[in-house]
Amino acid sequence: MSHGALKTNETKTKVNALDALEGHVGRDMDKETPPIAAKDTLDYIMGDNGRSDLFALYLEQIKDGRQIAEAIARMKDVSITLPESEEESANKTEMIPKETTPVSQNENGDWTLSNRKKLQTINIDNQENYKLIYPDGSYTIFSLNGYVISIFDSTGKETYFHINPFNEAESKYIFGEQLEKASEDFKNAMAEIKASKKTEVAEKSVAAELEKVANQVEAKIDEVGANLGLGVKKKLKQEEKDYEMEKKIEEARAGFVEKMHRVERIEGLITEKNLIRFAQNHPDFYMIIKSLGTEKAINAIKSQLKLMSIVEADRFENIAKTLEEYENYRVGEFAKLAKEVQDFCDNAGIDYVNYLNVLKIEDKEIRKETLLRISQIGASYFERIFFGLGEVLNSKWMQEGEHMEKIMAFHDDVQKKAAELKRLYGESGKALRVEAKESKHIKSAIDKAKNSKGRTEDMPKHSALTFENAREKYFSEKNIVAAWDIYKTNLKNTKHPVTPDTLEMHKTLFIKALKDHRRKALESGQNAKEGFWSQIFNVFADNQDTSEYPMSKLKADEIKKPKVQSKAKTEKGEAGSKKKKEGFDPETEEKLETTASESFEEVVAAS
Amino acid sequence: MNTFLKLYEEFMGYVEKGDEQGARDFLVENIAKFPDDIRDKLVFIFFEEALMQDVNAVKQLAEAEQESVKAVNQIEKAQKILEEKLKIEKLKSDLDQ
Repeated sequence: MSHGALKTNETKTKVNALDALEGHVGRDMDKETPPIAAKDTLDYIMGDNGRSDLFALYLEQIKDGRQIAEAIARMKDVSITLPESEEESANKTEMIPKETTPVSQNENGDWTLSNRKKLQTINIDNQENYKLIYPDGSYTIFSLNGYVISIFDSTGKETYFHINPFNEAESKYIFGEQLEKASEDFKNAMAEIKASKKTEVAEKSVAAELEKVANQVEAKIDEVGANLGLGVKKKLKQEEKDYEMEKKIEEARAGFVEKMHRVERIEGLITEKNLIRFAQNHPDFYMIIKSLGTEKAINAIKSQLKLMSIVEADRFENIAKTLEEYENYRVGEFAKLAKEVQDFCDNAGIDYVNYLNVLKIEDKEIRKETLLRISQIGASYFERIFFGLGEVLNSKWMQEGEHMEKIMAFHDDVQKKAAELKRLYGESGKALRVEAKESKHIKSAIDKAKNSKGRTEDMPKHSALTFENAREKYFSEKNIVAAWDIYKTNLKNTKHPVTPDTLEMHKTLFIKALKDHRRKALESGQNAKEGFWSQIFNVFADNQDTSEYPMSKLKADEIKKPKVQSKAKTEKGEAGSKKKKEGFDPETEEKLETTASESFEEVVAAS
Repeated sequence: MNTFLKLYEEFMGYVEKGDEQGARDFLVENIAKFPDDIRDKLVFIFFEEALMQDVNAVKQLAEAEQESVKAVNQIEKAQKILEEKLKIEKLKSDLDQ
């Protein structure tokens, strides 16, 4: 066999989805571009770094995310598994595998077609060609421009080969078009060969053979073209869609990477020192750190931050801004102010921490004594300020002078500020901790933890929902049992009563409805999600085990068996068993879930 | 019943009784026993509360310190003025004598 005529045409450059994912889209590739940072590539998202799952969650949150995930899988052979949508989940039982599965390409570039034909890229005489392998083992080799060269049977015997009879100059097609064009050109060529008396291959026998082969090849080409879904018009439309999709992919990638960069910046603030700072005024958090160790606590917080940045963006932003604000106070404004106060005290020879204590002492003698005691180089500075002022205030001139009222008001103002500082100092424990050593903080936190009785009374209440309200909305066991009874009663005279046979199916639906109810109830109302107890109950509401847990307490004997005659009972029992295996149809499921929701609402209304 | 459900049952015991402090203490004392995914979420909730509480205190203190510095500076200025006035008063008094 000769492959001397095989020639590879330049193919139109395909826009590569990987390029899109790696940030090439929109760049002028002719211009010199700087090297792409690792973080701007697909590698940042994919691979063994835990980000691909987050990316899937991110895609689930954004517009067209599901289509983008599908496009990434189709265009770049990267599988992203998104959680089932509600619609998908509902239709799951109705989903029937299509006769034709999507065309896919492996890492070697081999195509697997819907009818299990494979199309490989092969190299012959340093030219790239395609080899179409049929299920029976026979195959056809095409040059890249789509011309049929050789056809082989299943034993590998060449049944046809021919030099390229077509105009190669026009063969600048991409693959899908090549096949169609090849088919069309082949027909034309055959017609030309048959009509021509001059061509060297116009002998009748050859022409007949060619025509026969042409028909076969044409059929195959059409089949391949159809399976690929890459007709010329379709292909052009597909290209347009792909281009739009590539832009969306890039936007999604950039959006996700930006989020991850922000998360990483915020994660940088979750340090051991900061955690200890937060813990010093929060005995519960201190005990948690002590119990888990700082490393575990940090990892837990970081993992939640990542997840939250995707699924609870508002909550994440609130926390991120608070952390940044805190850091700004700690090393920025507050640090500057603290230094100012520190310098002031240093100059006066006064212990910085005791400075505020001095301000709040009202008794003049005790204040003087205390000042002298805490002063390292004498209390002259404070004496001059406070006692000098007192001397002035007591002077005859002042007593009689017109400034007395003003000065006294000023003095009162200082006293008020001292009282305010005293209050703040008392609330925050170690108020002036900026310059203090961590060991002091830990000791303070331990001391507070040891004396933690009634500590929640001292804590600011951030909960939008109080414990009682959150508990109510969480829908505790007592309420669940009450709702279950209502649910059963409501179904008693319907087509779907709760019988022993259908008990488990009803429970499954009831659990699903319960989870929905809990989630919606806990998240309803302004800022409800921000509450401590709302968050705590939400953790449990999302958990399957905790949702199923109360169900296990619903005893079978609470379910009234239908009173039926033995024959009818048997028939019904059989019907029930059959139903148990099959489950309710989607329409019935929907109705039953509504019934369950109504029973929850009824309990809420009654309470 | 698995360990988690035992913990949950005990926690819900406090909840059903309406014992907020008991429920809170229970979570703190048993946090390490919860499955990792639940534990991480609980840790984060306590962290969030501690953070919000601390940052508020820091902000309040910063404001208070700022005011205290201003107040002391004003006192110093006032003192100087008053000391000058006292001197003048004394001088006048001496001259009168």
